[in-house]
Amino acid sequence: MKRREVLGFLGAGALLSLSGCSSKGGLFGRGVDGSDVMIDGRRALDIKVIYFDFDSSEILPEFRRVLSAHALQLISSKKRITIEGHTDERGTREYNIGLGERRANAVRSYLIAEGVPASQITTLSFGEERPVDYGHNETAWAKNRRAVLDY
Amino acid sequence: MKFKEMFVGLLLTAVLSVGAKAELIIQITGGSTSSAIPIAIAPFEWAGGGSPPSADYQQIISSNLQRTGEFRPFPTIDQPIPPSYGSTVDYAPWRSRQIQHLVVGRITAQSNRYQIEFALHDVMSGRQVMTDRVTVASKDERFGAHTVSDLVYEELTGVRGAFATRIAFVTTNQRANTLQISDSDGFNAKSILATNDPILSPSWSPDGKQLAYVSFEGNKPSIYVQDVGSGKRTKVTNFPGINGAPAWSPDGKRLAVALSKDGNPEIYLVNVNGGGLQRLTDSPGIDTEPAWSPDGGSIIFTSDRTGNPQVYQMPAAGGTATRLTFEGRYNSDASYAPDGRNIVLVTRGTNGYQVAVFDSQTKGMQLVSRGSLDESPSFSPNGKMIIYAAGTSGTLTVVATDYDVETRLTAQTGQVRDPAWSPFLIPRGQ
Repeated sequence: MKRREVLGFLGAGALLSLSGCSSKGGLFGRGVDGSDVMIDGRRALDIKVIYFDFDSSEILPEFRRVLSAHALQLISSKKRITIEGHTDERGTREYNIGLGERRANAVRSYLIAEGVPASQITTLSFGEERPVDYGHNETAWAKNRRAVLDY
Repeated sequence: MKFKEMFVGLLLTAVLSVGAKAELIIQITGGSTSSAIPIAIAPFEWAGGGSPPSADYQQIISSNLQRTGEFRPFPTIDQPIPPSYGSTVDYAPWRSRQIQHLVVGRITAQSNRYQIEFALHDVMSGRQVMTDRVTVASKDERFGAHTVSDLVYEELTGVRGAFATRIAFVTTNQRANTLQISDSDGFNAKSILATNDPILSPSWSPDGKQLAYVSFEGNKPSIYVQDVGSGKRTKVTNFPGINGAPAWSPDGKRLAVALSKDGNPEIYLVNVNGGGLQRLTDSPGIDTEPAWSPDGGSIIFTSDRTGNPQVYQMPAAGGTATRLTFEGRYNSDASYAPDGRNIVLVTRGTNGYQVAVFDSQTKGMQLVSRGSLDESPSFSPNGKMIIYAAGTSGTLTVVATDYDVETRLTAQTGQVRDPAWSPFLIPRGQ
């Protein structure tokens, strides 16, 4: 709980400087790789899908700390990540490919701002082609407007 | 009266088929408006000479004419007893049923070909106005019936018929996707590509022999060009990021495409062999869905450079883009009618996403679909019909541009989407 608060008030700049002293058991112990960041009782690193509002690629406030935890993990592990961008079925298919890429790029920019090297990140837009819910209603659409962190 | 002979079979190299045939279920609604002209297609006679024909010429031609909304074909049961082919017609019983036109025909087998002879009669004036003969390979019988439909339609309306054409479309059943080609009426559907990755945006070459499309094989989008007859294909673009929305130039040499290799989607031209890349747009927004004007002089495309997607036009040689659509907050996926004036597009209105025709001269917009998730519209090559995908039902819909009739094409399983109507397949002047 305490660590959560610490992460909560640390700005991106502070985290960036932390990445420079990421030796095991450093200033913040295990927390430096994001592995013990908890959000609503879940490990932040277990949350690999974030959702978007209709026709928007803005990272919603509730997903910022999820992405910050992933950024720590990516910095410490140096793993390569593919960010998939997806849309709901509304609108035309190729425009949605563009919109999905915009969402993937928003996540990419966030991770880069948190200190993840751009060279570790690939983006891939599926537009509306890979829905997780095939329904034609708001419940389905909300699940489909997403970015998936694949690493 | 004109008389000519055409052999249409040689132009139709067999469509390479992957996997099982997947017939579409075809359903016509409407089409009995009071303005529709009563016409009778008599059952075609079988003159012998080999194995009997397998196609139902009367049914194919009647169905074609009905789908235009311009004609009301009489079923056999409502027709008088037809005259034998070539004999003198007693017009009185046809006239008494208000039938205005009568088509009679005869099929003769010649080794592995069929010869289709037919005549069109004007019932009201009591004379034969046209006779013609079409020869097809036995396997292309339905195409022969479509060609007869084209000739009858043109004689009666003055507009070239577009029945002897094809449509390309994508079927989706969960993760399994196929790219298919069928006759213009949805029959004879054959798969030319099957993959578990997304396929989208098929675009015909102007000679109807090749298709460009996007496939996500290998978990990334690439643009391919595939020969419909042989199945042979090449990868045209495979840049990092989006490789999307191919549109074949009217001269057949280049594709307009959307690539995001430089940061965000921009419109490029690329030679069909993948060379000669030329960037046409430079905006911070999404530029995609290019389409050529019929004369090849300009390209229309979707751009959200002002905050929401609208249709823009620019010279195909590059240069300043002009915004075309101002009505509403969402207009996209536009393509030209063959007249180079009307543009079919997707617009967002109170009922959701619908297909509309935009007149580039008057700037007027007319809705042509009633669904809430309609997309991917394209004109038939004669401009008299529009095909689009109805997203809520996962079906294709064909509508007549000037008449209230629609035909729905449904897959037996899964969804069918992303239709593209082929150009004319038989060169003019035969």
